[in-house]
Amino acid sequence: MTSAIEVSQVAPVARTFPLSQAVERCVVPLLLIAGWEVFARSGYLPPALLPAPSAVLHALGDWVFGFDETTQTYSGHWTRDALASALRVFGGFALASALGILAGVAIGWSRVFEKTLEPTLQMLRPIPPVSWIPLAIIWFGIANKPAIFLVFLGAFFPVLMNTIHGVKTVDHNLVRAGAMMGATGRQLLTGIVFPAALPSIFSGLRIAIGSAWMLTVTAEMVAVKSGLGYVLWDSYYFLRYDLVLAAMISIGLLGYLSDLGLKAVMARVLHWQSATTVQGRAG
Amino acid sequence: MTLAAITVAAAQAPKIKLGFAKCAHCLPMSLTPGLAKGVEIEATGFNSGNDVLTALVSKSIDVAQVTYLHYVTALDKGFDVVAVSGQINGGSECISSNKLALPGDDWAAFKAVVAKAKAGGQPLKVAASRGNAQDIHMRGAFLKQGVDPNKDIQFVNIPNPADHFAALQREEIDMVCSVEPFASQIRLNGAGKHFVFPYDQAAGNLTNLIVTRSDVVASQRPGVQAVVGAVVALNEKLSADRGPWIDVINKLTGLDKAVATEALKNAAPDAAIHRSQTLAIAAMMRDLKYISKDVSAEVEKNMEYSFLEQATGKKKNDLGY
Repeated sequence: MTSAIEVSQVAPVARTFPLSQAVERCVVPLLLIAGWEVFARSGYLPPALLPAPSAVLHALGDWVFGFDETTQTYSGHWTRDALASALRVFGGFALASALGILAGVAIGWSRVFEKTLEPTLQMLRPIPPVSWIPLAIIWFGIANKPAIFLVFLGAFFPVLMNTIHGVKTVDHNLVRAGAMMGATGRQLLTGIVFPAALPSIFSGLRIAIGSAWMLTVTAEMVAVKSGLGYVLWDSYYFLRYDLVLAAMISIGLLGYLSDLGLKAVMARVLHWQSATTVQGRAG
Repeated sequence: MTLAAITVAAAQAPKIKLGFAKCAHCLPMSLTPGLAKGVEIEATGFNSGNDVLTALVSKSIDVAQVTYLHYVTALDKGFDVVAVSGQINGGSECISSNKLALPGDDWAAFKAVVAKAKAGGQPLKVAASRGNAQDIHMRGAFLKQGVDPNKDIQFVNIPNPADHFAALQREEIDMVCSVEPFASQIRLNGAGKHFVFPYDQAAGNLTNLIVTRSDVVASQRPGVQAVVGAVVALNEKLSADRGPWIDVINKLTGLDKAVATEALKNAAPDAAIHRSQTLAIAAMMRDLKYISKDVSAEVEKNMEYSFLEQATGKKKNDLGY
C-alpha cells in the first residue's frame, strides 16, 4: 500500500532534474496552444473570430512594444494599461486584506462581533460584485474609485472567511497553555491566535488576489480610460478578438505572478511551517 | 385550412434564428415572430449589439439586428455579413448638465462654453459609449460645428449607457450623448437638459440594420425574405401606432411607460438601407481609427436590396441606395 508520505518522498528526486520538471509543466499548455493553432488554421471559423495563438501573440507584442501599430490606439501602451490595472487590483486587494483580516479576527475571536457583524457580512457575500456597479457609481462616481471598490468586494470575502476559519480552528491547547502562563486576552490574540491563524489567512489572501485580478474585467467596464479590462471590453466593441485574448493572457499572467509573489511572502512569514507540514516535508 | 394542413405547413416553414439587442429601438424585433408569414422566427434578446454580431458570425443565429457601425466593423474584420434591411433610426441625444445651463440647440453658446473651458485649462467633459451610434453622431455633429472632439473637449468613455445618468447627476461630466431610453430617463428625472439631436452630419440619424450571412442568403432565401417582410410589416405597424412599441419596452425592460413614450419621440421606423450615409459612417470610423482600413467597396457590395425590393414593391433607388 502506498502512503501519502511515500508519494511525497518522490518529489525531492524530481527537484534534482529542474529541466524535466519544466518540461512536465509545459506539456499541457504547449499541447493546448498547438491544438488551438491547428483548429484556428483549419478554416472552420473565420480567423478574425478565432485568432490563432500566433496572431494573438502578434497583437500582444504590438500592444507591448508598438512595433507595427496593428493594435491601433493601444500600440505600445501595454505597460500603461498593466500598471493601471495593477494599481486598481492592489488598491482593492490591500483594502480588502486589511479590513478582511481585522473583521475576520474580530468575528473569529469575539462572540459579540460574531453576533453583530457576521449575519450582515454573510448576507452581502453572495451578491455578485458586478451587481454593485450602479451603487458604486452613485457612491464613488466614475474612474478609479468604483473600480477599486469592485475589486475590494471581490477580494474581501475570501480573506474574511479564511481568517474567521483560521482563528476559530486554532488549537485550543495552545490558547489554554498561553492562559496558564498568565497571558492577557490581547497577548493571547496577538501572540498565539493570530500567528496560528496565519496559514489560513494566507490561503484567503491567495484566493483573494486571484479574485481581484478577475474583477479587473468587471471593474474596468465602468468609465476608466486604461487598464487590461478596459482594453478587453473596448476591443470586444470593435471585434478585435486577438486583443481580447491578449488581454485575457495578460490578466492571467499578472495574476500568476501576483500569486507567486504572495507565495514568496508566505514562505518567509510561515517559515516555521515548512518543518511541520506535508508540503514542507516534500520540500 | 385544416389542422393537418396547418401542421404540415408549419413543419415545412423555414426556421430562422433571429438575434436583437435590448435597447428601446431594438426591442420591437421581439414582435417579428407574430408578424412573420411563411417562416418560423425564433427571436432571442442579447445584452448588446456586439453579442448579437458575435452570435451571427459564429453561426449561432441566422439573422441579426445590429447598428450600422457594427456592420462596418464586421466588414473591416473580414466577417461575412450582408445587410438586408434597415429597422429603426434615431435614438441619439446630447444632454447637458444643469450646471452648464446651456440653451437647447444653441451651438453658438456651446462653442463659447467649449472655448472658455479649454482656455481655462479644464476642457468640457463630454461622455458617450465609444464606438456606438451616439458616439459617431456626436462626433460628426461637433465637427460640423467646428468643435474637434479630440482636441477641444475631454471625451469620457462610459461604455454602459445605463451609467450615463449617474455620471451626469454627479456632475462628473458636463454633457453626454446617450441612447434612448436612457436619454429620456435622464431628462425626465431632471439630471440634465436637452442640448441637441446630433443628426446634422454626414451619417444622419442612422442606427439599426438587419444583417445576415451569405451562406444563409444562399441556403435559406425564403426564410430571410420572410424576416425582411416581417420587419417591413413591423415598421408600418409602428409608424401607425406606437402603442405596441411602448408596451414591448415596458414589458421587456420594466421601464415606465412615460419614459418609453418619451424615448419613442426620438425614433423613426425606417426599413431602407442608406448607402451614402453608411459610407460616411465608414469614413468617420476610419478617421477615428475605429477600423483599420477603407471598407467602402465592401459596404456597397454587401448591401443586398433584393429582399427589401420584394417586401416593399419599391426599387432600390427608393430604398436608400
